[in-house]
Amino acid sequence: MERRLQTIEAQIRFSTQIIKRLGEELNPSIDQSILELVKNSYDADAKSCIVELDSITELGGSIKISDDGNGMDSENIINGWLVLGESSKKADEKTKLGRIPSGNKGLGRLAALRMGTTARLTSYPKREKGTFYELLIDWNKYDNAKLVEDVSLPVKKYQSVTEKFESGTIISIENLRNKIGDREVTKIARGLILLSDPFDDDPNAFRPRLISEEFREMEQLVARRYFDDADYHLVAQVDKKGVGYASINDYKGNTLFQATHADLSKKSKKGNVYKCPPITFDLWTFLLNEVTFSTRQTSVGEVRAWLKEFGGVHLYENGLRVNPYGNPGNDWLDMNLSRAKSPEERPSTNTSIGAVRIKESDSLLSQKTDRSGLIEDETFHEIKSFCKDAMDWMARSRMEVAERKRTAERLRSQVESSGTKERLEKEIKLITGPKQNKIQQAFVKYEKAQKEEIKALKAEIQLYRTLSTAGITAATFSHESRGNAIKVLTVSINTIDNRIKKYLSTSYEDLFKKPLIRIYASVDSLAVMGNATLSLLQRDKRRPVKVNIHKVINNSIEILQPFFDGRDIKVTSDLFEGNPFVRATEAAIESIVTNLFNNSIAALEDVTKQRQIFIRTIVDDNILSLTVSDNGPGIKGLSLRDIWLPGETSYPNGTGLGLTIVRDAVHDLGGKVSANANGEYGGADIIVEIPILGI
Amino acid sequence: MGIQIAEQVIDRLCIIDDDEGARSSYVEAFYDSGFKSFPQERVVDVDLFLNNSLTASDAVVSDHQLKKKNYFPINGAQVVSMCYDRRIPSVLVTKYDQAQLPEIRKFRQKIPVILNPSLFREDTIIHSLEVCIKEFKGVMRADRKLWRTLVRIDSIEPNFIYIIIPGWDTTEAISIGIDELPQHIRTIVAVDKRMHVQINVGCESVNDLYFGEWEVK
Repeated sequence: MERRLQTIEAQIRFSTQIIKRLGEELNPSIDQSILELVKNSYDADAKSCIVELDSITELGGSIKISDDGNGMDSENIINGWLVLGESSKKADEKTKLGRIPSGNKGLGRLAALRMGTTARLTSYPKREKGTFYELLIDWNKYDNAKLVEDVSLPVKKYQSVTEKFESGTIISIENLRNKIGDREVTKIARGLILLSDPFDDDPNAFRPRLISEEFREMEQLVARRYFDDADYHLVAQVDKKGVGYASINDYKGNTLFQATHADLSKKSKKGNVYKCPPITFDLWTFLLNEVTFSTRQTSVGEVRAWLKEFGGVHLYENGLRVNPYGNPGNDWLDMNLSRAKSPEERPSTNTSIGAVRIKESDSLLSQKTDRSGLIEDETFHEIKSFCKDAMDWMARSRMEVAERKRTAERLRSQVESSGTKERLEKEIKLITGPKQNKIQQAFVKYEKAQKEEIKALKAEIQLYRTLSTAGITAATFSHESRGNAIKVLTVSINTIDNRIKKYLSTSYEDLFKKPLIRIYASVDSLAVMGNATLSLLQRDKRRPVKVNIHKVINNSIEILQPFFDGRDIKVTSDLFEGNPFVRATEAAIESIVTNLFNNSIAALEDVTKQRQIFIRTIVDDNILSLTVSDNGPGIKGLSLRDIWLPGETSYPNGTGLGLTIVRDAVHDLGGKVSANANGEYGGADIIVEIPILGI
Repeated sequence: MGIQIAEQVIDRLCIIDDDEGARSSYVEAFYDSGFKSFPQERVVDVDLFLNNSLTASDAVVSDHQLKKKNYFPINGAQVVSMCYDRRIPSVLVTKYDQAQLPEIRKFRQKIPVILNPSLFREDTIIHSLEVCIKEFKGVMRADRKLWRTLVRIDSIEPNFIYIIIPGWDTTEAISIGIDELPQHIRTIVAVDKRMHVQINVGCESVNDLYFGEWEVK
């Protein structure tokens, strides 16, 4: 039987080696460690935080971080700052200035403090004015001790003799064990920028500063953020009389465009003044691509990260930031919507940053009672309207420049082409002997052929333009006819039909049924024109997706059916079993099928026997072969090679473009086209072969 | 007089269409029915219309495209949704194309029935009004009921995003106008982003789909 003799209390104790493990090995990143101390300043409601880097490119340098935050008393230092692994900050509890605490559990802080051989903390607590606390951590003592608890850390309290610090904390890390290079300082600078408020208007904003003689450029970067990297800076103002004006500057500050009130308010205000207090609106817009940033010190990635955090237009009233305008996710000026509608030359909240500053608002604007923004009254809408007008003008101005560039590019190409010709002719003249003549002749031939090609291309473009215009006009009228004329016909004939059935039921079958059926059929036939045109124009059809070819064929037949009926054409389809599909736009497949049907419809115009169109598909070795045949006269007066050329047609009113479109669409799909002048049914066979992805 | 539909008497039927011929045709169609139909003349002020003409109507039949001829300051889908708010049974009679779909879908939650003009008859109108009245009483047809549904953004194009609704059709990408998205969603759209949306996944045609609340994780 066991008998207890004694109970000995024990605790887990930590070797001093654990400090090293936690400090250095778990937190190897120098920049993150220093930024952790800066975050501590942010969490302490500091407005200023200065990071001084002194001789850090050499061993033995020092880092000093000083802030004007709340400071710490002995209690805060002993039970907060010196405790590792536990955060006294609750993530959902905001600071007095409304900040969300950002620091972590103190391991980053430990790593930072361990960067030197000593770390000195001096803190002036807000709660105990006139006193300050000091703590010195000498890491050498830990190197010589066995356990963490063996090293005593006295926190000394002093009476302050200077008025220099009202409150705040200074941390000095001295005698650095490692050198700190460009890369780390750049990362520290980026981190500071991401922590700082982008504009200096708000007196409560957090403004970290970097001071380093060795890294002046980084010092400047933190001070200026990335504003100098903006490609365009819009400066717009409304004066006391409500008159607006604006200018756009380039990154050097040179004015590119200037706008008067009339230029800005042309559309929405018709010359009227803006009914709002004086405002200034600055918007910095960035062209975020590798090309524009290739010659800059900053990378496109870091600017993108900054804009992700601060992008959008912030609003300040009498120097104070008004939330939520410009917060992540708040796009009160609908920039993203405008950009989505017209992407060219429009900034989004991810590519720009701006500030609207309202001064002397004279109580014209009032905050909502829950402080969730301004009451959106007429004055507020006028401010919004001005900002939107300014951005619209900016977009128009930039579009003009883009258009000028495009025109210049076209001219430059022409000049280059003519210059190349002159150079070639010169080179030919330098050739001696009979070869010169041969080359000269070959060049003349080549030039002639090229001119012919250009001529043909110009004619083709003109034809496309003409047909586009015809298409646009047809679409407009389709809307119109389908909207009203056909609707009136449909409803009226229904009414007549029902009324005859009701009041003249005995004579309905004999006297009215047949003509009514004919009217119904004719209305359907009329509707097909609008339906077919509008169906072709559906936007979704121009998006590359998995397209079921048989489905498109069947849909096309269904849409055109009243048209076939009206022309007494019988359509017979013999489709391969299964659903062959390709990745393409539905519009491409539809244009192939519809143009082949149109081609056959035209061919059957003079046919007096039963008019027939046959459509057949066969799949062999992942190639779909689609054949459209008819029992018309076949291909006459044109060679089989020429039927694919634009403008070539044997029908008096034909455009000669249908088969060209078929050919081009099939080529785009990696397929080929062929034709028989007189096929199985007497008329032409047009054969399209397309590689498919599956059945 | 009037016609009793779902325990409610519908007598005066307001006909809204920007084309005078179409208005007359609709009125004509009801000439010998149990309804008293009357054409709505041009409306300049929507509030006036809501407070005057509409109060004298038991039901409304409206075309969608009303603004083109400067006949109405808003389009039919919005008119019907306003009637819905006032518990006035209304039918949108229109043959709309895909381009108009986003504009109509914005109000679709409050448009119980869209009728093709070719189906415009007394019996179909009575049936449509019945659907509306039942909806006012909380009886939703299965194809109109919203369900919390997972969607994935398939691609983004100027003015539109395409989403896949796996619970409805795993293959068809549905286009949604940027205008249709709530403000807080517009800024966070990204390809392959998933979110929950209230959708009437019981419907069969893409034209009948509509969206309620959009949630972001």
